[in-house]
Amino acid sequence: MLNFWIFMLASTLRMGTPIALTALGGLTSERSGVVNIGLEGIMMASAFGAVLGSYLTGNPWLGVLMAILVGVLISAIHSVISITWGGNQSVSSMALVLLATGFSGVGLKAVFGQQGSSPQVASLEHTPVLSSIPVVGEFLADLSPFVYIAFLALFLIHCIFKYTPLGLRIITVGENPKAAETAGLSVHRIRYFSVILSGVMGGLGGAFLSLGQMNLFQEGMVAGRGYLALGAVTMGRWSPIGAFASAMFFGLFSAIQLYVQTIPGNPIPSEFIQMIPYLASLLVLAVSLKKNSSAVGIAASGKPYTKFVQQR
Amino acid sequence: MGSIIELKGITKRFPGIVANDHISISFEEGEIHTLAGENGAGKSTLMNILFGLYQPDEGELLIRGKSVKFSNSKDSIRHKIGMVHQHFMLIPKLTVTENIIVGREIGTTLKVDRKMAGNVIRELSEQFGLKVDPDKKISELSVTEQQRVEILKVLYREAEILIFDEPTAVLTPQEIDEFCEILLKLKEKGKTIIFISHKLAEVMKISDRITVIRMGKVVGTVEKKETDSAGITRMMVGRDVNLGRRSRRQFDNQENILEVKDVCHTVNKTVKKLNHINLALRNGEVLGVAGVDGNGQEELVNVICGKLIPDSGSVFMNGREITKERIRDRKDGGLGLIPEDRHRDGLVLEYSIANNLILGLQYHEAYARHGIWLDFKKIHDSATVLKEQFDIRCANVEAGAGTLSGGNQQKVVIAREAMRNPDVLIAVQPTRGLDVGSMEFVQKTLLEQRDKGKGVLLFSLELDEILTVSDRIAVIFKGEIIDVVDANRVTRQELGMMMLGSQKEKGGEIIDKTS
Amino acid sequence: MTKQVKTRKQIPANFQTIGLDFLISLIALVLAILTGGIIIWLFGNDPIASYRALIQGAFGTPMAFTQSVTKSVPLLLTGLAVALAYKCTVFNIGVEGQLLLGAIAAGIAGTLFPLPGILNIPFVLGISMLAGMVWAFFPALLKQKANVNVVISTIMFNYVGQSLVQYLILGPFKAEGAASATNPIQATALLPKLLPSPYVLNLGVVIALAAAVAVYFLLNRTSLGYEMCAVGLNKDASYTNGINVERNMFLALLMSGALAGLAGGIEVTGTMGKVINGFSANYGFSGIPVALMARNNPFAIIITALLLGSMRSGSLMLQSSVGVSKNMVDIIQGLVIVFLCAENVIRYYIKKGRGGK
Repeated sequence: MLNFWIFMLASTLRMGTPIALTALGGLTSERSGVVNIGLEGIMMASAFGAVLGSYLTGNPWLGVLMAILVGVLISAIHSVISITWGGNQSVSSMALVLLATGFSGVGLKAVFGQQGSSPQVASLEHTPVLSSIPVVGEFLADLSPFVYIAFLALFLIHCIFKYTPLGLRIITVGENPKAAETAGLSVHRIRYFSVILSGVMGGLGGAFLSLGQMNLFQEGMVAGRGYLALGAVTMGRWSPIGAFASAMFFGLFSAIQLYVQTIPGNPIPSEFIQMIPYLASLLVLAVSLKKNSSAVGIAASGKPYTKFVQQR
Repeated sequence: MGSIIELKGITKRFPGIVANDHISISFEEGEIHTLAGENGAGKSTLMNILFGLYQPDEGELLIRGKSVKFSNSKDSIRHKIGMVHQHFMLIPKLTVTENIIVGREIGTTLKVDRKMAGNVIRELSEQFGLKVDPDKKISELSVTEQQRVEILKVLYREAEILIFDEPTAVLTPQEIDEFCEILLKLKEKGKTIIFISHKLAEVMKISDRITVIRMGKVVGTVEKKETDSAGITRMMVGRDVNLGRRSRRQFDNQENILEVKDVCHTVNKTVKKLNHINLALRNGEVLGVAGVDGNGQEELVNVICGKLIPDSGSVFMNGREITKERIRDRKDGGLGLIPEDRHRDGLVLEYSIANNLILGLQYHEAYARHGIWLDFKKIHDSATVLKEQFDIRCANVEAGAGTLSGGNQQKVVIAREAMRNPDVLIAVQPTRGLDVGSMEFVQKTLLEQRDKGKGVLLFSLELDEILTVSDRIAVIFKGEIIDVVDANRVTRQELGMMMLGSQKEKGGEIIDKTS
Repeated sequence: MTKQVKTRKQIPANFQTIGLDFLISLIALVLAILTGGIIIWLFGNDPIASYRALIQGAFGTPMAFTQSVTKSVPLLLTGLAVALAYKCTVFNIGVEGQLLLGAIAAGIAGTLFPLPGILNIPFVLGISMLAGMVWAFFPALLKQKANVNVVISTIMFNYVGQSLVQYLILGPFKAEGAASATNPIQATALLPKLLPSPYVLNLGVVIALAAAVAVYFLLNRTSLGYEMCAVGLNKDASYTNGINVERNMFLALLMSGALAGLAGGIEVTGTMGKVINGFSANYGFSGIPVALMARNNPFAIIITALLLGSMRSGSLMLQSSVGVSKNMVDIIQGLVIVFLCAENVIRYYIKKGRGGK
């Protein structure tokens, strides 16, 4: 019995980590007023970048660095479009996803000469350094270092918003950019920071998928987790802890999916099991939003603030 | 002498319009200088340039004799300029302290010291007599309190030059007096004040000098003692203007055509926006609703027009209960609405003028065969007729509504509503942001509707407008109608006191209702 | 007697506006092609040869040309689907799932009744539209009742739809002896070919074009279209003037789903004759760049669908002859959207140029 709970806990953490990392990024971006639906694309491209980096250097941590760079690059494009150009943020996000799909496909062929998936590379699926801790050491070491990075990120981002001047400024910019400007803040600079930070987090999330959970890149491996991350942000009411918890909740459903698949001779077709995380997440989202219907989002979210768009 | 700010030849163009046309003004240190002009004259644009929010296309800006270039408000703040905007720049979710200190936080780079900040703000508010609780959220404050926070924001940044953009628009006469005292106190402490307004009473009261701007150009700068209200008006508009009371038709048998009975609406489980409110509008009258912004006007309008279903109580129109009716049915049933924000609620700017004139009527047999297929010829012809009738200045009715001036846009809204021949016409701030000519037109139209036998419900924050246009005046305070008085027999002061909660007794004694 | 009204369009689309829109799309396309060329070069391939291969693969032979047109048909419909919903501010990304459901519904309905073609084809296509509508109904309901973001819910339903359809194809409806396809549909349900074999051009083209015309009429000539566009341009004003915003958005999403479902239905009745697992080369998602490039104008969508469909068709040759991955087309399409997002900047400078006289 204990084995079952340990399995579920470990699975939930594993399944929830990429969503949590990305959700923390999406949260930061949205609080500054920029919606980043393209995180799915960022995760995809970063997953590929991580494998690429690990392949070229043999060092998975450099792969992570590569993933972060890819995330930064793509989110920079989104920043320019959404912030400086004042383009439609949902539309821009779709462009990102297309670009990411394209790049992974082109990259796979160009670098590895393969279609569909990459060869195996050095990965970060476990944290052996923790195994010396008594009692829980084995469990902890079994988890990827990304899980711990996720918790660290949660702590940092939570503190940023609660205590630091930067956090206060991000919130102000997201609620009323004109007020922020009259207070002397640079709306664009703060938004650029937030969006690029979301790219870093998305990069980490993507890197986990290819290096923390497996040791290769596969087309379609993101499977909607970038969008689930956004759902987690909404469900978590735009608070870091809330988003993290919601992400883990979604991870739980994926863990359930995994578990059901391991039951021998189970009659449920695998396709229906695959549906569980998506349907369950939607259901939970619907229930939580319905209960708290007065949940107001971020006031200036999604609205461009730039000289190229006439402010009403 | 000490010209603290000098504007030389400032020019600012926007697509299609020259907002500021070679404007040159010099402001002296320690004075209260008013920029007067109609809506749309260019005053706000000019001050936004001074505050760094816009950059001039031509011209020079000198602060204490030195030429400066402001690329954003940070620069102007550094030069000790502060601006209190007409529409408050506050974040409802955050506290007073947070709103004031953001951008210049107290504490370390890593931690904001909210406690110390609160103390600093308390001190500052005592120093300038601006009472406010630093820990409250903005959403919990009244409009006047919010204005105090705006002023504190500016003082916190050690501004020496304060720009106020239409600060008295939302205040009662008593509050305006208090505000003028605050300005005098600031002047005492050596601040230079630039005050933008088109409301002449205040302008004449506290200014030292007045510069009038018309259509983007400076008409002239005068000392207060050299001029009077009429003189300023003439400079602002270019002619004599009569916004006084007009003669009107008398009605014998008047009935209630709109009744609001015992309506309640609570928000967030605690705040009562409408508190057993009662209101009755008669046919053939203009009933003005006076009150400080935020006392339930918005909710009342929404309950009547159908955007809000009250928690309890009922609404009747022509004897029929409409409390839960859809907006469309109410409009078809005889309710017209001129909304507060014509851009947001009145027009679809990207649609043509003609198409805007049928907004809400697009499925009527008059404009669509079988209610489905739009008849563009009929729409066009109808629009052409309305264009003549309401003097809508446009090249042709197929042009986009966004190309019209504010006054003409409002005419489109009014034309559309009037064309439907409503029994009840609700007008919310109908002259806001309009030039004097358009203001006259709007008020004239409202009276025409009244004289035709319609009931007009006028919501306005401009007391002069309420007094001029209304037959009776209802005062709204904290979600209740405190009293309904005869417009011919009440004074501004009395209205002002009622707006703050005092009630006029039959014998003329004032009872305080502020509990 | 009275002069004919000159402009009969709904939105004040005088020729200046259309011209500007077209120009912006053209600029975006050119920039995307240039940037794409640079990327190809960075990856070590020859950009000129690549584009030549692309064009060759798309239009080189009559066969290739008809292939391009056929591949454009589903894009035309999904583009219309995305555009219609977007006119009412609904971003329907669920076209992929709706298309798949439409396809499987057609694949099943097509096997049922040996009706004469004149009945069977409308029946099967009607079912496919219905299926697409049903699949759009769930996200629409979630939005209306629980305020769930349409983008998220439609994307989720794409994944659910993919799983569901795969299950149906490989499970209960799998054909005997086939590896991953359903039973062939009735011969009478097949769309008649427009050209003799081996060309694959079928009636689907005509149906899709008719759909474009229908969407145009809906949006520009009907009161429903007036309301939907009004909601898309200004929700508040629409609401204040008695338009039921929620209902219009709901309808827009449903109609959008129907169009996507139709795309799936045509793929089955026109091209495949049955449902093959994984047949959709992202037709749904690709509808988005089609709609965006055409600025949601139904007639322009015909052009952009052909453009992007040909690109896809030609990308196979790009891969086989030059060795550049066919995903390059995704990059180019992504770039087009990126440059389209700069429209505000372009408009600003044009206005400034005009106004600063």
